[in-house]
Amino acid sequence: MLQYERCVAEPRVQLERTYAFLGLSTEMPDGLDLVGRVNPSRGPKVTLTRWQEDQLVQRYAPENDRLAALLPELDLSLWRAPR
Amino acid sequence: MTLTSRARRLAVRGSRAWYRWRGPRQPGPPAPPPCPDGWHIGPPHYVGVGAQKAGTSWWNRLICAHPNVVSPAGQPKELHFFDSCWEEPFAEADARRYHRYFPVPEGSVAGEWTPGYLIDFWTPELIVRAAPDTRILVLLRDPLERFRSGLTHQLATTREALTDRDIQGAFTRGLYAPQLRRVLAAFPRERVWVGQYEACRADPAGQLARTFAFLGLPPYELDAAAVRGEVNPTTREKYEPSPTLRAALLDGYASDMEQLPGLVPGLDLSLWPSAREVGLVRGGTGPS
Repeated sequence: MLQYERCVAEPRVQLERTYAFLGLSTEMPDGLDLVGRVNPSRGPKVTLTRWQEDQLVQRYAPENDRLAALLPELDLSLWRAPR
Repeated sequence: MTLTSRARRLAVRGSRAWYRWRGPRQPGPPAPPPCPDGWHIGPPHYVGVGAQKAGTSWWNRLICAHPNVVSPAGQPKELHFFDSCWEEPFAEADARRYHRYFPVPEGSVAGEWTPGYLIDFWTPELIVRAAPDTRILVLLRDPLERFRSGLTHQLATTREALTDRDIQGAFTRGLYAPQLRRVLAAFPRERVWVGQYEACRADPAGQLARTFAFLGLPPYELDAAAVRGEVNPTTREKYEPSPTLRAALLDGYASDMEQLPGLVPGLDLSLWPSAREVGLVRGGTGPS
């Protein structure tokens, strides 16, 4: 299980984890671009009002808690918590 | 075929042709009804929030048959008032506009039932703001049967072939636990009535009496034929998922159904063949 935010913060560590999980050598190929964006967003991102953002965060919170119970390695501090 | 059933089939075909010509309904409510002299407007006495294809039109018709319940002529059962409230902040003026749909004379009550409110995650909180003392009605149905009925309805009302998104959408509507959690987080438990379509079909008079009691209405007995009459009956062959999809649906619904008795203590899973099949009920055909 990977978390996008962790991958962005520490791509090398997470890629090593991935290689190890797949039973591959954890040695990085030479010249591998670890931070280059693939499929970057084109155009402006959808903006949400504060109310909309709060609604989403609140409604996802119980689901995130259940997810954290299922996946102890999940770091919920990387995701937005209800205000 | 009797003349009545032939007429009904013709009416259903006509309404489908109209729907195809007109396209899907636009979100948002119609204009509010006039408020006759001597009547007053206010928050609805009850709001039915779901579930789609769980007998809500039938049950709402029976509630509206109570002499103390007012149903303005021409006003649809589903107002869809909160559908577009995701886009704009909900203001006090919106709450007052909502109240205008419920004119009643002294001693009477009114309400509405929009099944989509259950799945629209932003709605329960807005209902609290617009009608803080209202009573919430939810009718549930065996999720697999609801799934089949939802897609049968969709096939009957659109020309489009079903897509994977349709399948996913219909499946999600049957995941009742997260939807109920949102409702129960917004309203005190004693103001939420959760019924089961199968229980209503088996004992309509008894379940209707319970519904009236929950709504604080005096007992009222409807004519037996009126109680049993179906609303929006399925007139075409029901959608049948492939064996692989059916197995995946049962697998997907099992953990959700398992959570329901914890959320709704009176819920009787034995009324749902799906619950029996996945072994959630003793005597079921699935693993124990």
